[in-house]
Amino acid sequence: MTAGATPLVVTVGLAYFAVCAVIGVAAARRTRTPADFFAAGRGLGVVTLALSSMAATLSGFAFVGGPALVYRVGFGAVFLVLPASITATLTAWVLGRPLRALAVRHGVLTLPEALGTRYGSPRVHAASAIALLIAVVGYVATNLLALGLALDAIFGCGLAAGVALGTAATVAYTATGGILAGVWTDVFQGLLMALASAAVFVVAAGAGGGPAVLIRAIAAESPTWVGPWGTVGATTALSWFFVFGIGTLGQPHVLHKFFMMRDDRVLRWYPALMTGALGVTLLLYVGVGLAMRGLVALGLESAPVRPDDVTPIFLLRHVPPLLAALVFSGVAAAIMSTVNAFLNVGAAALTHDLPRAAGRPLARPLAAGRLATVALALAAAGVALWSDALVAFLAIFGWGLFASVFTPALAIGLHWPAASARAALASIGTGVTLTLGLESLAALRVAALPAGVPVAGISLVAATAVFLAVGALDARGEVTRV
Amino acid sequence: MDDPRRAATTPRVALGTIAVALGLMLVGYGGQGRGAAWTGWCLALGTALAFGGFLRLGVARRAPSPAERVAVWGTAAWLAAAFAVGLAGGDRPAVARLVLGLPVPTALVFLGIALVPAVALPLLFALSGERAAPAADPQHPEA
Repeated sequence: MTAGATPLVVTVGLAYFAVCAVIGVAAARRTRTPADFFAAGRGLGVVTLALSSMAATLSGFAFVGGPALVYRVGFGAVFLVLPASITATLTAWVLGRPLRALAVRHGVLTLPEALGTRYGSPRVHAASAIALLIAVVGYVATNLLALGLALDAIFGCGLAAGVALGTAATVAYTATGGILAGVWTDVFQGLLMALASAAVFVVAAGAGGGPAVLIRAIAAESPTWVGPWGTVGATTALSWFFVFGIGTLGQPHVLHKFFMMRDDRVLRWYPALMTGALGVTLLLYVGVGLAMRGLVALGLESAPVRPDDVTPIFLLRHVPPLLAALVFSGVAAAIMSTVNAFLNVGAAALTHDLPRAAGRPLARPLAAGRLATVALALAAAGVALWSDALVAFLAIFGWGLFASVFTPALAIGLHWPAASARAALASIGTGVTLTLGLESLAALRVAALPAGVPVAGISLVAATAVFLAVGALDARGEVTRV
Repeated sequence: MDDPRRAATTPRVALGTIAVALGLMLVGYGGQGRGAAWTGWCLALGTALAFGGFLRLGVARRAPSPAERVAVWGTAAWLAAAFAVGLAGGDRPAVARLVLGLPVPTALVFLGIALVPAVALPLLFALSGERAAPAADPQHPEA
């Protein structure tokens, strides 16, 4: 990422970390039980729930990778985030109340435990926890690398030092205060992200004489860029909409928040607040990519060497310095809130889910959870610094793996009484096998799907179809036996 | 209040809709390999139906209220219509006339998907009585 290490950016960055530290210390003092550590004491109100869910949902991609993608492929890239108009209501309607019911009536703390409890199956519990761990390491490694880049841009400290600093800061409050510290910092981080994004969008909307001037200039160079599907075409854009819309029903770092609700009433206005927060925070995603591409087309800006430089260049050259400084910290905030959520669900899989699935719950789960958080973060940071190729590979399949593993068994299974543990295991196996297998074949250049067909889309469709088919067969068997 | 008789039954409409949606997606992906022109239409309809089917799952525990029916089938129909506008409009829209700075098909697709569901769905959810009814036990849906 292009360096922005001016004294103002450094000062705002230091102030941001100081606020996070204060919140983390306060939360750590109130974290006394595993329910505090993994489910924030089940005390979240609607504002906290919505802002922390938004902050966990949006990683640094919304601020850096997303605008770069818009710059590169045009409006087709917007189909990655367009489902945000629906997903909060979708998840609340399909999963909010059932997950809350499992938390209250069975003390469920995690998504794998929800599946294990629903199907009365330790094997489903263990299989989903293992699948979750595979994706978590990849997600955290990718985000720690992005955090290192962001901190290097803020402080000019170098990538390795940035990764080390970011890992240490995030682990400090995640390991001591657990998800309680996470949701409290998420509220601060979410507000910072939304404020910064909205302000930058206002600047972007006025760049180069306004959107109409920019659009006409871009269309003269690339007519498909301004079309509804961008340069990627309808198949890819619609697949993104499907995977990032329906796949939201399988994202543990966001759904985990439903276990933390204070009561059922919290759910009523959650979709409205969450959708509004997502909408405001995603304005930068669209605005900066469009503005930079238009400015380049008008000859008012030189083309970035790397697409990932789109946001930093726009911030440093076109945005007031204080706002730019806030956005740089907002990028760090977006990444840290996501890393916190993943570390927490990963630590829970290691110290809560797998031991319970094996019938041997740990004697000191809180201490084990803290240790597991540190261990996972160190492993992911090691991966991040060890191999760019491995990080790039791991980054590809995280969302798709979660979507194909959890969406059928959870979203359908919680509403279909006849769905069996066998169906859940079959769909989880299908999701893991197809996602890892097809991505590996593509990475090794052995075989690839046709252009425009994403592995995540195929995996989600196949895992859901397998779940329906095996579930229907088992349900028919039950009827026959009766 | 949840109807225990409905809660214990298979959500046939939702599962049927999801199954049809998956079939369309698979046909669409299969056609993409052969470069067929209709793949986009299959994916568009499949995606819209998938949203409708999963939303229907969420309200399947009891007889859907009018607001819930609008949310479920209105979302599917709205998405299908927005995607159809994009597919029918071609991938190189004219820029002589712009709406809010965007080419007309792009504006219709984006603003249609981004704004209308973002306002309507949360309101329909809040009005649907989700708050009042106690959650049924997913482990024992008939309880």
